Amino acid sequence: MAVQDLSLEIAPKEIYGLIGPNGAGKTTAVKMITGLYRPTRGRILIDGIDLGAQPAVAKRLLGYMPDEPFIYERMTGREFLHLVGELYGVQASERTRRIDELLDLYTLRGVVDGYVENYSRGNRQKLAILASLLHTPRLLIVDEPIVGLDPESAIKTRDLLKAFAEQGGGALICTHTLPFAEQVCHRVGLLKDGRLIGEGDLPTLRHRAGLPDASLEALYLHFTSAHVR
Amino acid sequence: MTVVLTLLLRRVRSIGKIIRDREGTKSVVMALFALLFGVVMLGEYVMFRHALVEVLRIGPASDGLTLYILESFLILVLIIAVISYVVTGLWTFYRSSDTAFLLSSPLRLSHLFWLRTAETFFVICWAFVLLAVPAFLALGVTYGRHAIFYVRAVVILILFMTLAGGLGALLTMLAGAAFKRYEIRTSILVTTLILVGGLAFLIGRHIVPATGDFYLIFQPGIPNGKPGSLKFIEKRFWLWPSHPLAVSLFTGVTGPRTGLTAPLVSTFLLPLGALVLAGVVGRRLFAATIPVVAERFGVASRATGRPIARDASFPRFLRGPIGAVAERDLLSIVRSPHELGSAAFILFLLALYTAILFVAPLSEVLEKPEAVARLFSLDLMAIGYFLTAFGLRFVFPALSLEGRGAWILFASPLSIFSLFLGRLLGYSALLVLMVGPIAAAGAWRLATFPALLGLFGLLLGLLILTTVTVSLGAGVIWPNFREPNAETLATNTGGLATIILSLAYVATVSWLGHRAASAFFRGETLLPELGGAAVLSAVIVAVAIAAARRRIKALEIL
Repeated sequence: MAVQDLSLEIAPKEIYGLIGPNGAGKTTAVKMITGLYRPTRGRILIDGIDLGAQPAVAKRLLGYMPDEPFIYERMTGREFLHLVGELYGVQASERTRRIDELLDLYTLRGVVDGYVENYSRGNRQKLAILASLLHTPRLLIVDEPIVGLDPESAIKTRDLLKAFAEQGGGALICTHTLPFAEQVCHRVGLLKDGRLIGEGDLPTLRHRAGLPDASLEALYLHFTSAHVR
Repeated sequence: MTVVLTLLLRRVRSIGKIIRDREGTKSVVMALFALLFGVVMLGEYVMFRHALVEVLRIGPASDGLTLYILESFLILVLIIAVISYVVTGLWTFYRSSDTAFLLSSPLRLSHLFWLRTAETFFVICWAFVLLAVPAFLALGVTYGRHAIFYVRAVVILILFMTLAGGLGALLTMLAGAAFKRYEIRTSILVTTLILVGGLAFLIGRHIVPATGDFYLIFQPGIPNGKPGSLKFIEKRFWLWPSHPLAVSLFTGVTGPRTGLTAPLVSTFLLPLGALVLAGVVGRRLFAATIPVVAERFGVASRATGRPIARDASFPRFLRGPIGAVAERDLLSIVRSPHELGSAAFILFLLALYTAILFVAPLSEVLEKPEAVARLFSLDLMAIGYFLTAFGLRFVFPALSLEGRGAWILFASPLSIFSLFLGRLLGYSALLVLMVGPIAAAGAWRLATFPALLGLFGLLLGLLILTTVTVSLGAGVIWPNFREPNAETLATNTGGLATIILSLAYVATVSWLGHRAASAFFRGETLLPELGGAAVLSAVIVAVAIAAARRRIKALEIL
């Protein structure tokens, strides 16, 4: 079983980082939260709405960017953004305004009217991030937010996530880029072998580890190596 | 050339691995596909054998008709093979995923050319086996030939395949060179249109027989018991590259004929010539074209990202989430020449079949009610076959082709079952618009009675709705989000189920159509047959929808 007895809560205005070694179950957890996988037991509540019972209502509150943001190759970036807006029930005039607004976040204006098949990996990722924000979700789920992005775009993404949380949204980030997680996350959960082996903000984790000045990287190594089956 | 052989062997091994890696049912699926292939070949053999036996019964004119059939048949197979080669080849030669890697390796361009030539040839060579082998076999059996004829037939088949491969490679290179500055999808689309248009014109002029042709075949020596003249047939077909092969095959069953030496020599010279021409001219064209194409569609092109439709909103024509996905489905076909070419090819074959109904001398046959009822039934079966082919190629893979982008729909609030129903209606409407007018024209040619035309319309509607539901349902029940190729998807368990269920259903409805048409001519009611077809269709549609709904509830995206 990829994930066992996982229980986590993300509050509004909070960025939660889920970290762990390869095969720990991070992507499985994310896919369950986004409705791509069906948990064998347990519940997923988004703003109090049960994802299993009311998937359409719950998913409307979610924004998702996967670790491999594959996007329809024979659509333009703008068409793709409109399609996503339509799927999430954003009115045509509203989404035209939002798309225009979002395109300023990254330098995508020059390519947004070309086929996605001609985009670089980074541009696809930027497009997927913008798509996940288009309908102003309550909870943003981002799997590996900055892999493939240039440093400038990575900084913009960091600021974007922070701004999203400041405006009241909650965010779940899965990443191996620990310095990035350390910069943006309010709390961190360490997942290993499908179980949460540690959770809390940095001071709490440092206290638990007995390492007062440790970086997230040091804490990660401490917890994951200490928790050997 | 060792490098080319090694790379080809790797391809074969990778195909073997794909087959081996399939889960449990793979061997059953493969066996059933082989069985299906065998059944189609057997059916074709029976049809050819039956036709040739009837032709032999005619007596003096049988030689002329046999040669006419052989010439027409080889031209049709050649055309199908060459068009398939060019459409597949333009992609394989210039846009294969490993082109960039191979170009950066020390592999010589001439070796890359031969590798792509062989790869494309292997993809399209099924047509020869499926179409030509049963026909050649039926010819030998009908004329009571011995083993030596079959050896000769195998040699002719190999020469024929060489001819088609050589011509296909040459035309692919010419098209590639002519359109090297255009996007590959535009090249494929324009080339396919030119080839299909040009060849349809030539087929209309040279192959489809007019009533006058039959007078030429049957007269003037027949009243005296003398065999009809072959000169008219030779004169009509001598420009086609398949002519020497048809003559060679013909003399293999009827014995040597005076004046046919030149075509027999050409039997060997033409295929070899096509191969040499492809090797010399085609190879040079490829060497001159591939660097331009590789640079244009490589990393360098990404920076430019030519705008397609600046500031265009989406969806443009349909509304709502399901409408938006349906419009995207259509766009993905329209913007892909490969997809568009496949759809156009199926429609072209349907139009060709209907055109033959119009030009064939059926006036006397259509005066006999039983013959009309039989043709009515066969027409339904033919339309059903085209619907099955379309369903298998476009409707069945609809869900699986979401592929790595499946997260977009599955993580969204869109109900996948509603999307299923939307696609069911959308594809049905599309087929009514595309196939309906052509099928109606063919039916009108066979019978102008309003009641029969009404019956045909109702049965056509049921055929469309049911084959679409079966294809869509099988696609949901057996999805494969890892395979991006629609043709490969059609070879899995779901594809097999689609073929078997659809064809069995089409055969049953055609049989009911025959019974209903016969009842009409006897002045009896059509209701029992129509009711039977409606109930059968309703049951299949309901079961397929229920099974799909159940599967969707448990579907997970890897």
